[in-house]
Amino acid sequence: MKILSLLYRKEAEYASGYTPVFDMQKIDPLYNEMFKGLRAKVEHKIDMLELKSLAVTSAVAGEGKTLTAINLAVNMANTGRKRVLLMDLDLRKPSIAGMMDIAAGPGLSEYLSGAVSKDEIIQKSTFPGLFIIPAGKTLSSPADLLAGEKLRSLLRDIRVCFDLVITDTPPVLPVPDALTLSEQLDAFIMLFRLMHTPHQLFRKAMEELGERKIMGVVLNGEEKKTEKYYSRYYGKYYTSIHSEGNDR
Amino acid sequence: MPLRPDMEPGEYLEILRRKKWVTVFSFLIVLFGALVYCVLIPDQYQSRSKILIIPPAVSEGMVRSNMSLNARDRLRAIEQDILGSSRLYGVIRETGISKLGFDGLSREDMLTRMRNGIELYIDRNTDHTVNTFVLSFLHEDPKVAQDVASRLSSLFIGENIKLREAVTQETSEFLGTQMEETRVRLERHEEKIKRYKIQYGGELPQQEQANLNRLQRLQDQIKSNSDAIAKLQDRKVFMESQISALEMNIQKGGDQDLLDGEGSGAQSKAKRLLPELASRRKKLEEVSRKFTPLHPAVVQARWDLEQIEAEIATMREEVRKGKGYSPGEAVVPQPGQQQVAHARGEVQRLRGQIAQGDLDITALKRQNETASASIDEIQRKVERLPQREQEMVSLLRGYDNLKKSYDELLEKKLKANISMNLEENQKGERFQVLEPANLPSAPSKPDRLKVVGLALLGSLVIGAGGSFALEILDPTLRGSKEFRNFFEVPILACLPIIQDDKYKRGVAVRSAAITGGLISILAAYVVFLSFYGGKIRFIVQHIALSIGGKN
Repeated sequence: MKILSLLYRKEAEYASGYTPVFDMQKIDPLYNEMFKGLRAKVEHKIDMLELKSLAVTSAVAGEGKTLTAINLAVNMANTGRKRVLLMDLDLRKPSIAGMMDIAAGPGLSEYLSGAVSKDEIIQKSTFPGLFIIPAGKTLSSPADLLAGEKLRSLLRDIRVCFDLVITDTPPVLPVPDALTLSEQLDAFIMLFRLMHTPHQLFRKAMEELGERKIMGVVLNGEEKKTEKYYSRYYGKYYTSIHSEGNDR
Repeated sequence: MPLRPDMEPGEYLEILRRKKWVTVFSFLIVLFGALVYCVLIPDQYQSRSKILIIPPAVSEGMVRSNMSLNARDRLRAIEQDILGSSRLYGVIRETGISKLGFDGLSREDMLTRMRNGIELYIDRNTDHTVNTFVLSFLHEDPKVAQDVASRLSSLFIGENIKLREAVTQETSEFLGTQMEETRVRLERHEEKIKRYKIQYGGELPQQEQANLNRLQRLQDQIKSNSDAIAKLQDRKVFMESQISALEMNIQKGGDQDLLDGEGSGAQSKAKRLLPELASRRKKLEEVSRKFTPLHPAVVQARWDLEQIEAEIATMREEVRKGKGYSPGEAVVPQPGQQQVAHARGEVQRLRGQIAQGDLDITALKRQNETASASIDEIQRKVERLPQREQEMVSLLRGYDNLKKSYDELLEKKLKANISMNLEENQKGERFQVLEPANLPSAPSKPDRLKVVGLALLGSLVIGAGGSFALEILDPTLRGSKEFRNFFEVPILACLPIIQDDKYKRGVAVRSAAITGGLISILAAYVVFLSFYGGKIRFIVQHIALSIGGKN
């Protein structure tokens, strides 16, 4: 019956098929915990390498860039040690505003076109320490704007104001936007969705970006392990935490 | 995920586990197909007849067979002949098979089904000779299978005899024709040699010695004639010198009347002319020896001599008148004048001998000319000898070859006739039924045990193969371990699949599809079993019996 009810659940309850970030703890605590691990590694690397701007990208669309960028920014801000700015640089298909439940505009596209000032596009989020610049109006061909001096100047300024800038960029292969931004950002985190993206495309995307620009890769969508030792040492531990969390 | 050479066995098993439903469904579907095939395909019964090949009654070393085909090839040839449309259709009519299982089919379809049901299996010994062969026919009715197999055996036996007889007869006829042709060519060649010998008789190699001997004889003859000619010529010269001397004496004697006494004026004048006369005579003799009588020099010399003789004759008459002789009165020969007459007679005799000698010389010279011509002729013949020898060798070689060929053909013809007699008396190789066509009690096809076994094996192969094929064709990766095998980029995190409603919906759909598939297949099984349960039970019992029988 549960299966049938799930089969017939309305799609509209979840916009664009994305899971709302706020429900992640409830839906899959393991996912949440893995993310904290990611945050720790990323924080260690940016502290070691003194990085200020990070881009989250992938080879193709639908690999979980936006969700990962949001979760990473939220987790980074939650530590309280950093002021984090989350920028939506995907001017063709912006989604951060929708997922974070903030105003879609004015955003970056309005700023780059000169309609608004910098201060008008930075929004506070519900998470302390986390600020957001939405993408603004959708553009069909933003490559020139992204390559322009205005964005370079903006990035230079916000690096001063914030400890860390996390950007959600378009995928590498379909459009040239990510490559245009590669010189302006300090490092890239590549998303690779398991059982979705052909490995040849990922290799091609890495070659186009250049391996020296890639901090690391986040594998998305790994199936739960079924080996006994994993269940014994990992599974029970998280199951018990989840139970405790629910009890609380 | 693309397969790697360094994959562990556990990874292969993991692939099979992930794609287990591919294997399960392959197994169920293939097995179902095999089950349907085994149940629905009608039973086919095969009747077999074993035929023995009996070798010739007479040893091959004594009488060699004309059959060039070995037993295997001959059987194939007979098979092709029997499987021809007309022969096979005759079998169909005779056995009545057209009414049993073939009804409704066109002639061509009937023939095709017949051909498909006939099988010829040739037993081969370890030394690759053929002793027996098996003829079989497959049909849904065991009785029909037996009848057709039996009829085919009879046909094979009959056809073998006909084929052997035909081959031997044709061989004999062919050899006879070849022999006749060769005989005619041989006779023509003999005629050619004969004409050649006639045409070039005297120039043949075997006549070389005779020619050389003749040549020698002719050369000797010429030498002897030349010697004779030389002797005759010497004798002639001697006689001529004698004649000259005698004529001188005659002249002296003849002119004595002019020389005796005191000379009158005429006598003195005549005396003075005598030396001139002798000189002119001598000159005439000389030019006569060199030239012909009509030559101007000879004519002149003769005229000069006649002039002076006439003058001397006139003077002699005056001298005779002076001595008192009447004109025409014979002068009484004095003793000197008798010698003159003798000398004249000797001269006459000598001139006769000279003339005879000339004739002999001429004859000898003519002989020499003839001999020289003969020598030339013989020498030409001898020169042509090598050429004639070559031509003769060529002619004789051609003749020898033809003769040899004719002799060989004659020998073969005799052997072929003996072989033909052997076949006519049924002493050659023949076929005999060793085991007549049996009435099959159990169907030969389909081999259900084999079909099921192959289906099981095939399903596993398809399942496993399909699983691996799908895995190879899948370009995505499944986990961090696989990722590390392909890339050296550091992994920051492995985020699990978000088990939200969408994911759970996907899982549910997949489960429903698998369950639905299984239910469908099982339903198909149940329906099929309910319709054909009885036959399936019978088949299973038969398979169990056959397995028990083999064990």
